[in-house]
Amino acid sequence: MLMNKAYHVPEGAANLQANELELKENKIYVINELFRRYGYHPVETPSFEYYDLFSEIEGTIDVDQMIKLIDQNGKILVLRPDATIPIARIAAQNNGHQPYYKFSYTTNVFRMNDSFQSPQSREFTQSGVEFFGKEGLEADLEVITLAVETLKRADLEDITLDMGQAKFFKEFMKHIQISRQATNEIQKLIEHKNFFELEKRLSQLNIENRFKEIILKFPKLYGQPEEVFSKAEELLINDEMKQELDKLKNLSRMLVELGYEKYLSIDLGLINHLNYYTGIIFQGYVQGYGKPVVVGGRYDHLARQFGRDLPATGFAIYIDALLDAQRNSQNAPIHGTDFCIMFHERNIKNGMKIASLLREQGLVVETEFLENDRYEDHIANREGRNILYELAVLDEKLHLVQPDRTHKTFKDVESFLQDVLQK
Amino acid sequence: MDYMNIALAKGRLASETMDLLREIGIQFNGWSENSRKLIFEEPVQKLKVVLVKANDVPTYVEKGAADMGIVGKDTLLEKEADVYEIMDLGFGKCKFSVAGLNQIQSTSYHKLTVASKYPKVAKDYFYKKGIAVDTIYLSGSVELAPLMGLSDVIVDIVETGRTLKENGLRVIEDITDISARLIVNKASFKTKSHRIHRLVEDMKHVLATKGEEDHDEAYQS
Repeated sequence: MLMNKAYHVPEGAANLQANELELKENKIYVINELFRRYGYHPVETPSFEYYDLFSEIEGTIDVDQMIKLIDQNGKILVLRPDATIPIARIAAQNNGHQPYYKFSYTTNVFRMNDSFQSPQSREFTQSGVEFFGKEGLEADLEVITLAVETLKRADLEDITLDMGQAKFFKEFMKHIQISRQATNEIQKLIEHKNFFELEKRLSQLNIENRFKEIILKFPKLYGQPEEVFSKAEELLINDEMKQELDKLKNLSRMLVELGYEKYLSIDLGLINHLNYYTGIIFQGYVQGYGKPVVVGGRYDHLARQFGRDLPATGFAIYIDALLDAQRNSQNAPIHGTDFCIMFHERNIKNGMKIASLLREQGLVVETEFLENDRYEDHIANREGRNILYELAVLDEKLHLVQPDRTHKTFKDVESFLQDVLQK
Repeated sequence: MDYMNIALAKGRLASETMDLLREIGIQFNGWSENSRKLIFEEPVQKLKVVLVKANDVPTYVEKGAADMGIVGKDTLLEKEADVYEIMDLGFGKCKFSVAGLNQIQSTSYHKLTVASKYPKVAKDYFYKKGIAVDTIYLSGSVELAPLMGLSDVIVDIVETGRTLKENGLRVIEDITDISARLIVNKASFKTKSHRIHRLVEDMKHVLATKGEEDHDEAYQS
């Protein structure tokens, strides 16, 4: 039968049910619990905001990618295209002016992606933290170690944390007099590690040769930390670049000291996945999965646009990607039902009493009415429901069918409860 | 050790790539140009080659189903995948060109129509020149469009120009050079960096020696 298109789930969005949703909720719970233990407080922002909030903020997401709605007065609204910007507004506009804020969130983000090829391309869930009010290594270190610890807590193995420094390249380019468009083109070629086209593009530009040679080295500034740092030392042309590199070096050394060395890799060609980043940035990958599962970095100028100068750093975990990455390696545990209790209407009191007592023990219990005492037919009709124990509450006795299909009979409710609660 | 997957664009690029891989000592069981198999393995170094349509190579690599891919720059320009494009392999050379019956009349009052298998490339090119165009997507025999009055010009890949000539068209402008590119999934580049690097360095080495030989030959003749 052909189904009416209106009944389909829109492309780029997905239904989640049963095991998958339980698994997702469980991950989110574990992650939020870890955030709480680091002193982060949860915040929630509206699902829709004014378009202007995102379009007027310097360097945010592509306006064409926002999903738009029209308000009653004709103003344009958008479904939350980014989690960080509204949270920066909270930090900047908070009364009380605390010296720093630590916020955490789990929220859905909406983007009008061109590619509908994955079910969660237009609506996806992010969990993350934002640390406002502290600049420098202290906050960077906390956020990056928390990112790694979160991935570990979510049972991911073989994590690679790739760190870059958005300012290193920017400070260099300040000394090069070329158009903004040419700068963007060069940045893009570096980010794609497209060495030969970078060479070609540079040959068309009026830049001093010694600077061209430096630019050509940017796509190769990746790998093991110390190795990259010594290569980068040779490219310094001013104090600002040295300062930015030193920040990354210090952070990297602290991470090594704390035992994170095996996760670390450096890429100074990683300049800017979102334009608002201003310092140390990072992305986390897991072996065998083709997309980053966590993205973060320092963004010191965002809160200023809401009226208060607050340096900030944070990260977002792509929850759906994280689940996807694990789908290949581990089978989702199927959460079944521990007990199904069957009874005739006239035994409803006993049946319901047992059910609620077992539920108090944390067991998953379902109940079902019997039309007669032939409970075996009921059991036979329930294949695929994944039920461990079946209990028939009859007039004179109770019948328990155990997972190995052996039977046990109890003379009354009390003796059953005694037997079960002992276990 | 996991298998490393390489997606190849079916056809000539795949054959040239297989030749290149053989030169660096990687041979795939059962590979021949005429085979109908779509997947070939090299169990010692744990490499797997999958043959897909050129258009699908960026998709496989961006999504991580393949760690690396080899595909023409034409496809990359049209698909714009979020991948590392780390090497020009130097084969599969051709050009993107604008072709038509006559020069483009800049004074003409009607909006220029462009037929192409590559509507994005066509649109981007004219947009950069400041010319507004309507693009018509065609899936093949693009040369017919100007002859049948479907479009003013076409944007297509030109290698020798013979097809154009035989159909009475000529190249009006060249857009850009095209050749085969090695693309790498961004995550794989970090998580399997060692193996990817070794492969890339080996390929570079072979291509560089070849380049020199070609150069020498040209010099002698």
